[in-house]
Amino acid sequence: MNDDIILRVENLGKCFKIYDNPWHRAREWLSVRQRSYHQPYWSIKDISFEVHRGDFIGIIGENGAGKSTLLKVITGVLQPTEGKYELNGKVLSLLELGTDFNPELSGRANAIYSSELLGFPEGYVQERLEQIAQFSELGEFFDRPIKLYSSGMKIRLAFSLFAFLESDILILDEVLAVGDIFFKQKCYKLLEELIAKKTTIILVTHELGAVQQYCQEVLLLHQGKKIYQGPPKEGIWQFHQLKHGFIQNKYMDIETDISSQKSSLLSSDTSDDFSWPSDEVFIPVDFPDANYAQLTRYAICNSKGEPTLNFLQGEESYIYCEFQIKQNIAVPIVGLIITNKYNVIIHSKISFQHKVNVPSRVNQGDRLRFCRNITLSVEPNDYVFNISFGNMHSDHYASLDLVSKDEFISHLQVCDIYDKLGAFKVLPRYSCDEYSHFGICNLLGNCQMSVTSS
Amino acid sequence: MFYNAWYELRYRYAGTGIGIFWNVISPLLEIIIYTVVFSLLIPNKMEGNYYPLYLVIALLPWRGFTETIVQGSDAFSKNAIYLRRLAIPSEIFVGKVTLASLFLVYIYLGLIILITPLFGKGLGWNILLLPVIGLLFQGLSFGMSLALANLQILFPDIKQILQFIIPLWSWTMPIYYPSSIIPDRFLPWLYANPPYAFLKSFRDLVLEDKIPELNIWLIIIGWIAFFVWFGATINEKLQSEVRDKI
Repeated sequence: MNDDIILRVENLGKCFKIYDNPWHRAREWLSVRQRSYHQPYWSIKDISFEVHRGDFIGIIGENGAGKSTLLKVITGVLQPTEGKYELNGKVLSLLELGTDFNPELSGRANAIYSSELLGFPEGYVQERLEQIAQFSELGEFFDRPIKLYSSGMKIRLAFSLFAFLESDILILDEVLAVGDIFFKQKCYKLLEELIAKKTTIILVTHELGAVQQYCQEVLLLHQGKKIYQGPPKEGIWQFHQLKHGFIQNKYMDIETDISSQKSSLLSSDTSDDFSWPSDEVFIPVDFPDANYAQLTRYAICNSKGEPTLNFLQGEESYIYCEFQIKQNIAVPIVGLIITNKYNVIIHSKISFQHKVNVPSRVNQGDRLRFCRNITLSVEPNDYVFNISFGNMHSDHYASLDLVSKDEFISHLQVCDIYDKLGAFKVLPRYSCDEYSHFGICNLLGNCQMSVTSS
Repeated sequence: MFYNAWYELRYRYAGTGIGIFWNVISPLLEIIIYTVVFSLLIPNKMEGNYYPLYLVIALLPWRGFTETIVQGSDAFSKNAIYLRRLAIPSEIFVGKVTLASLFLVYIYLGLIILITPLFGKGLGWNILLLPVIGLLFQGLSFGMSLALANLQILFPDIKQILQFIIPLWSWTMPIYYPSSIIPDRFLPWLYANPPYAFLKSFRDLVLEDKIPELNIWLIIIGWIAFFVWFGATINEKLQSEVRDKI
């Protein structure tokens, strides 16, 4: 094996036997005619890839896609049913971290105990205990029983412990999903230091923002198969399509699907003053059940027109949507709702509130494009955006400035709602500038100060 | 590993006021109860005057043995968290339980040595062999537990089955009752019951200051060899399936 390749996986497959009754296993053992009493379930199949020393790899996929099984096979917990893998160093795995601590023992004792279980000699962790205690910021809690810890504290302890144990490959499974933002930043900084030391990191997460920001390469798993390996941007793009059921079982046809979409769009004309990005940044979606306006694709970009899911606090974002109109309607109305992870509406604004120029009539088969730019003056966090589509009679629409808001809205007919269309992340700024603020949102306004001497 | 086993022993009584001392107090109370019951309430002179002693010498190691089996066969389910995500050899968990029970057995044996003179019974130098038999006895339970631990993951019913098998098992050999009530021609068959040779050796060493005969040693070694081999084979063969199931 090439010295630079630290992990090579070839045609790996893992099949679980599912028995209706545990005793069927015994019947199967005793069966003379080798009768089978189980149903095979292939959790992963035909997975091949290589990882180089010092790489930062992300593994993404929906729940049950086989991510954890793959990692368990690599770490030697499970035996592969077929195929093989070669490892060129020591693996340290943080699978579902922090749950395996003994609640009665102190943080310190758990650190020693866990590292012993992981095969490190006892003296090894003793030397690093002070560093671990310091990094975890647990203070006096480090010597208290784990049962008194909050879940965030457990994660801190676990991450700190693992970060200071040396290994060639560090596997992080949904590790950084919890914890406050500052600790997360500290963790990622530490990961970068580890990368500099040529440690390979495999990150399994649902936080696509983190994947895009840190990983050099992603593997996309779907129903136990690897359907993509390459740069994160493309991988995340495909993952989004998966989520919207666009490629589900026909992943082999991805390429053709995309190209056919592109060609059909060439004929469409766009007015010059309307900003519209290039086709590559769009994420095609599939909503066959739409009644009036079928959303066919959307994009989320920064001010440079690049597709991204990570924005800085106060940065401008652009959300683009394209609808295929299914039946004749009057004035089209599009609303955008942004919610945070607790489903609290952070912002919701409907196109008429922008007083945009609208057509009084849209016909079946027309293509409607919607663009909205938003300055993300909100706290650093994860956000989800939803789109809703409605229409209104042109006479009613004309009365926009004449009637009260409530009366105006009463004429609005909501047609299609696209919930949880996409997610993005707002990251904190490092410096204190006009865009930075505390609290959930930035409110417009200035600040002055003067001193009057007595 | 030793630290772990020691911790395991402490952990069993975690949260109680005097913690680890329960390991000493509970067998001591048991000794007192048997003494009172047999010497005062049932003044029937069986096995000389030492019937309570005779009982306790076999009963306490037997308790250590069954505790290993019960806890050892449950060791995989209890440590499922680790087995599910770490590639550590699974026998370690059974080993840990066995070691913790070995400490217990040594505490029991120490108590037996302390109380024997109180019954007016002298002790010979051969009691120095007690720890050796104790160790071998735990070796036997390790082999059995290792096999059972694997099987219990695949067949969860085993846990329930063990719960009634173990009390039954204790009546298949002279623990509670004197061996004199068994007809002589059946006596050799008792050795077919793996723990019997061990329990008999404990009694011989303490009560009669007699080193077990060669054939008993051979039986002891034979049973250990068989069950350790059996446990190791089962563990090796079923390892992959156990990890899948757990």
